[in-house]
Amino acid sequence: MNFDEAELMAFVDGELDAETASWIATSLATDSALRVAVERHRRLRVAARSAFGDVLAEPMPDALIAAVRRGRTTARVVDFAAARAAKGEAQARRPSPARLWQAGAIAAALVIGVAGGRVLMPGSSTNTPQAGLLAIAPGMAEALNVERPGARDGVTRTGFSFRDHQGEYCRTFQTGRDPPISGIACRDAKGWSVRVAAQSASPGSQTFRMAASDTPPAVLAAVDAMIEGPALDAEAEAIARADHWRPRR
Amino acid sequence: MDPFETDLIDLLPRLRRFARSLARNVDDADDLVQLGIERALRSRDQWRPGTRLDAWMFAIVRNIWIDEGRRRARHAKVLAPAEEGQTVGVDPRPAMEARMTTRAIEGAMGRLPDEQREAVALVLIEGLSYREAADVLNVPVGTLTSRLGRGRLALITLIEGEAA
Repeated sequence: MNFDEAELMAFVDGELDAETASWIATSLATDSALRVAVERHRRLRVAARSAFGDVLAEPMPDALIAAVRRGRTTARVVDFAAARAAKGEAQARRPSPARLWQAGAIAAALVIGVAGGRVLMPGSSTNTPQAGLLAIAPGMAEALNVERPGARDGVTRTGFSFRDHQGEYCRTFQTGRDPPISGIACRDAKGWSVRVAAQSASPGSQTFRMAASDTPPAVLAAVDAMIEGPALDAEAEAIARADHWRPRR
Repeated sequence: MDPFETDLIDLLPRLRRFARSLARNVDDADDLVQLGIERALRSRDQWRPGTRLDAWMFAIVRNIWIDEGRRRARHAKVLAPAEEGQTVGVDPRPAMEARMTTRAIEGAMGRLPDEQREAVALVLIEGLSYREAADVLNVPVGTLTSRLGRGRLALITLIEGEAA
């Protein structure tokens, strides 16, 4: 056997120059030691590929799909912010508080059912996005504290996170089904409160099917009005989670 | 979704496989992919259309893995595969037939030094050419083939060692 290991590996990888490769191919017929050596590298190549092949067939975690889609959502929010800054349309783009308040009342009714009788009452009567719109169900606070984006186990799913003008952490969420309620919860010194809630499109509708995990436009517009800087990435989110989402001023 | 995001979704299974070959632990691997997606979306302006998105993503995921590794100072002790490789000399047929199982391969991969494992993952598992893999790792082709060769011989030694 007149070839070194590097040449045999390159032969198996299809990376060897044509002349040497044909020399090896010819020698294989008569050189049993060469056959053993080449076969060993070929087996390793096949075995390594098949050992990790099962990963390809595994169901895709929702969190990863959500991470790609969130890129778009985040980009949209950032784009809104940029556009707003450029055009000075801050006030014009702010969603109507009255509309959100109505959505909030609907949300309260539906979420009470979903949360299994837990009290979820409208809170402050000042119906601006800065005021506590709804009290929060205990299970929901837990989800907001620990849930990672895209997780779908609980009643409440979280979307993306950001900091508002007051330095408080806020997270978009979706809770319940038929139809789900989407909104924004922020954590002040006392704990989480829902600032904005809106009914998502009905599950039966075409819109819902096409954009199953999308944040409704009304909520996105509210994010646009509240957000300070970009949405948090995974690292920033992990830091915030570790600090129990306490406000930073 | 725009074409970039659609291509990214299509790539996810292979990104998970690549991350799994680096990190072994399923959750760590998926975290790695998620961080990779976020970094890619943030820096998508740096990707040149017409070049391979898979190689670009592998490079991002691999760089995050390296950063994470530095942070946690993982793998304090690794084998010395160059020396291990020198001991390969016996007729491998019976051992290789029986022992090149998925578990043996995964276990042996986990014991490789990072620089050898990533070379093996890119060429043997992901099927990149030497040139492409070298570009992902930002090293000369000669360095890539040297790491790949040492990694392979170490794998063979580890698997046959298990079998012995």
